[in-house]
Amino acid sequence: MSYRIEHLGFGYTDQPVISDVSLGIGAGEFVTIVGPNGVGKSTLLKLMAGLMPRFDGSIHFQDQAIGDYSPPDLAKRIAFVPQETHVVFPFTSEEMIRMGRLPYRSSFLFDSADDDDCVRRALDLTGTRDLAEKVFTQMSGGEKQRVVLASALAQTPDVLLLDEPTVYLDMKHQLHFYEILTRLNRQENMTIVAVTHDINLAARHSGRMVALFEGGVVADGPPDQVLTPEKLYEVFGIRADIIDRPGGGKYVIPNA
Amino acid sequence: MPELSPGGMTPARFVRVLGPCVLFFVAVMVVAPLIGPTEISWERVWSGVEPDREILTVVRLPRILFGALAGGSLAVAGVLFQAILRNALATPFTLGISSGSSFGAVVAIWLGLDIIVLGVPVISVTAFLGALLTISLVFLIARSRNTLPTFTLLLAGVTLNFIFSALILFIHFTAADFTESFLMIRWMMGGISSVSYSLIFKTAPLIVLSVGVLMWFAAELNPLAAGEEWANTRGVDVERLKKTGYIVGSLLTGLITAVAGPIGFVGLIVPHSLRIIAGPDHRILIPGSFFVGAGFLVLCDTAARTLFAPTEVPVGIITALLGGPFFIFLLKRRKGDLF
Repeated sequence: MSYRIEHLGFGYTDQPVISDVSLGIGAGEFVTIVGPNGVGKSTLLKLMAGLMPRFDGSIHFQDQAIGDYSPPDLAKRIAFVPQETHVVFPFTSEEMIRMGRLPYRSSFLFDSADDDDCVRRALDLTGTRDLAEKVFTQMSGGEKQRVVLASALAQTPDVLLLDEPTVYLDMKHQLHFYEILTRLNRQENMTIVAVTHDINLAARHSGRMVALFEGGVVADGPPDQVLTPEKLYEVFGIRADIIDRPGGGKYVIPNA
Repeated sequence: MPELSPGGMTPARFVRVLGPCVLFFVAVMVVAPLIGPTEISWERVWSGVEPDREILTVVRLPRILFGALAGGSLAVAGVLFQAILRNALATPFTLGISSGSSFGAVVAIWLGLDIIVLGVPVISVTAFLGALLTISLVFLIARSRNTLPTFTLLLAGVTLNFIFSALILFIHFTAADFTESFLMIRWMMGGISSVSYSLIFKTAPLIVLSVGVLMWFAAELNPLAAGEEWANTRGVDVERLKKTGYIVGSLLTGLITAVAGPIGFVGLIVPHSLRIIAGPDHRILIPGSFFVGAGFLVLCDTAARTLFAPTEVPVGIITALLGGPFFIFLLKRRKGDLF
């Protein structure tokens, strides 16, 4: 079991964003979290990443309370990919990726051969070898996001948490990014939890979809079962047609 | 498999990149003592020939040693504040330390305390107290629920800067006579003049310790400079690092400013020049900036004390006039945008 979340509640102010979420996520699952804006998807992800120390209820990661991990121990197991990464200083892609090795460092000054191997592997898994020497701030959104993913992979995590990772990418790069995730999930058995607004991309690539609404889980299961006209109306307030995708799976066409 | 370039930080790369910085520093330290109104040589100094030995040990060496400490400290503090505030324009004085210590110095001059007690000028003591006051106030104002939000820190620092500047102007305008007024302005222009060995021995260990602490955290400063969440998710205790960095950087700045007044520009252009030449990795930037900053300020101070001899020019004027054009040259020469 990767995550066992029980009666989780959290608010930035007195107003709770998440009121009562219980969720179990097994190792090797590919879960997408969907729901309307402001429903607490990103907040849930940040709580799962251990970025917020105070919350109600409990989050257990690999059978240990998430607060009991030291920051480096957590960073060795959980990696986080945000929507967008703004950097001021001219780090190269490789330098950005190497920062993923920080929790493993054995010397305060030098990188190890092990670090080199993990960086190479992260470059290969994300197809970013050609970008290694480029300055991060000068790259396109699609390139940046693959480098950010590579940096997360350099952490050699068990779990990858992604917060709307393809929201600023064009269609080609969106597809490409999800293909990489699918490969990581199938070949490396990496547990993946992604928050997204792109229901169709999520349905096609993830094995399980969790819908959040009003601070709690309202639907949880294979995308085919979660994506019903009734559920879509309940969660997003839209009417939609659901059609069969050629080659299997469902496709959502919003109408009004 | 093609090799990674530039690759990780190996001892070989560390020496290759840092080596030129150290060489520049050593070259300046060898040549600078020889330059001055009286010609001296290292050979005669080694053989103990007077007045060469005395000119070197009594007049020039303490000034050069402190200039090196000051330039190194300010450059390192600049690197640190730029990383913590993630702001390319940050300098050691962005958070108000220059006005705070200037306020301390101005009060002492106003009270007629331009004297030396136990080998330490009273003005330096009050200037350091002014810096400490600013550092504490900014920290207390910016702190919120045990965190140090970057924006609040920046705003608190800039606001205190204005408040202390206003107080300085107020004293200046209402209380100071002509002589005091000149002393105050001269102090605020910054400069390294008569520094005693005892002052060097008092400050050097603190500076070496501070830079050592920063070297320990250098690898963690990389992800912090890239973003707080980025650092957090890579196992960095961001709040602890920010607090440590703020305190160490402020103390370095306060210590130097108390003795030499606010010397601008070193903390801005030395870090950026090194970023352009050697990249933004803090494991290189921190020691590199220390050596280059040290060499650069000694160079500028040598110019300041000799160019218009016997008149001395405040070194801050030279750092800007010498460093500015060089930095513009670096900016224009490189391809692509810096930020």
